[in-house]
Amino acid sequence: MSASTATAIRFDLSIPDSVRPPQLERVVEFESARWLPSLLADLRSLEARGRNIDGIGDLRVANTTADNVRRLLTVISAAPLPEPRLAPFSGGGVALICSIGGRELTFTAYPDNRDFIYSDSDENDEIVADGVLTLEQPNRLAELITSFLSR
Amino acid sequence: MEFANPPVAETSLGFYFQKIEGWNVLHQGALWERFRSRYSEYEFLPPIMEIPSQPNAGLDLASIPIRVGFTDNTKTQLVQMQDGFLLHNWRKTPEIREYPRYEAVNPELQQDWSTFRAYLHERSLKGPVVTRCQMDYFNHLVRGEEWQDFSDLSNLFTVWNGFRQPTAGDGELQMVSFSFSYRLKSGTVNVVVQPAIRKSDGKEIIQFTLSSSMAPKSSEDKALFACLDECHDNAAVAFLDFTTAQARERWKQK
Repeated sequence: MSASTATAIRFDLSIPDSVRPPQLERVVEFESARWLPSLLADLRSLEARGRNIDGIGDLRVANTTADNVRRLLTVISAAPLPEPRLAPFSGGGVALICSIGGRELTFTAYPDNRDFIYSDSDENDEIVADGVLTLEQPNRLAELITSFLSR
Repeated sequence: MEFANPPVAETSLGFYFQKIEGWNVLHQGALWERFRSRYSEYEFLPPIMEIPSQPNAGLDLASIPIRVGFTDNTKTQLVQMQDGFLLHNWRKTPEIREYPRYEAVNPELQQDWSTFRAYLHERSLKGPVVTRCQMDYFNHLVRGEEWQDFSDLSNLFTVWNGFRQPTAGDGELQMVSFSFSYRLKSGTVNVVVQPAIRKSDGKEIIQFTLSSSMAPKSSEDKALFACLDECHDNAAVAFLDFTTAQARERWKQK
């Protein structure tokens, strides 16, 4: 399904498909999205070998931040989003960016914080929506993704 | 076989049976009253759905599949029930990390099963016709603790000899998963080794699922629990077969 045909679909991100009955603990398999193994490898690389660049800052991603991003990935890997990319920034944080044309949906994770800052911007870099999100708000997250895909 | 630090995160044991004639969603709530003294909490779980054999068959609103877990106050012991199975699960929690072992969990299931049977009898429902006894172990091998990259899998699993890392450029394996099933003289063992992300903490894990199942000779309690003992024995042998001595040493086999 292409992103442009997703207009009428509202994603239920609350129940993962990959729980193997009768298992209780929820896990998301690497194979749940074709891009997931590669993105996880990139994230590991930023954790282990992120660069400290003079004049720019330390771009290593903290372990706790990476764990938090992986928690986010367990949810958004179920949605038909385009392959996200990672953008680390100084101080141990990282942004996860999904782009369609000139539009971007960004989730930013900061060290020692389990919340995410999200922003949805249009082709002119104008912010359409932004705010704070937790993973305990699957309905809000589903609305955000639906809105981004359907514009 | 005993380990000081086993990788098990969750176990499940119990019985799968034919749908019980006359069972409906109201029984599920009434059954909880019988379990409530031992399992004071409950949680609804995604039902295990079967593919309908008759796609056009009407939906029977009285028997919508509901899978519910009755949970004790530690959240580690749980009986999960849906029309078609009753299972007892143990799961690791941050507070209680030690697996109590089969010998301790099995009597819990015996009590659960006895409560369930008594309920059916009181309501004049037929006793369950059990088609399968099953024991599942869900083991979590955390990256950075048990393994670093996928080339380490051959240090954990005897059945995986691995292959050399790609030599093109500085490539590395991004993912490995495998599964297999084999039939024993009695019963079947299924093994799935699959990388995953654990939702609760975002850790990358290898989920090593070992399932041992068997059809019982009858649905009498004695036969069922003897069958479950065999499932457990098969699982123990399979665990020894499929894991390396190096891994078991790490888990501190006693």
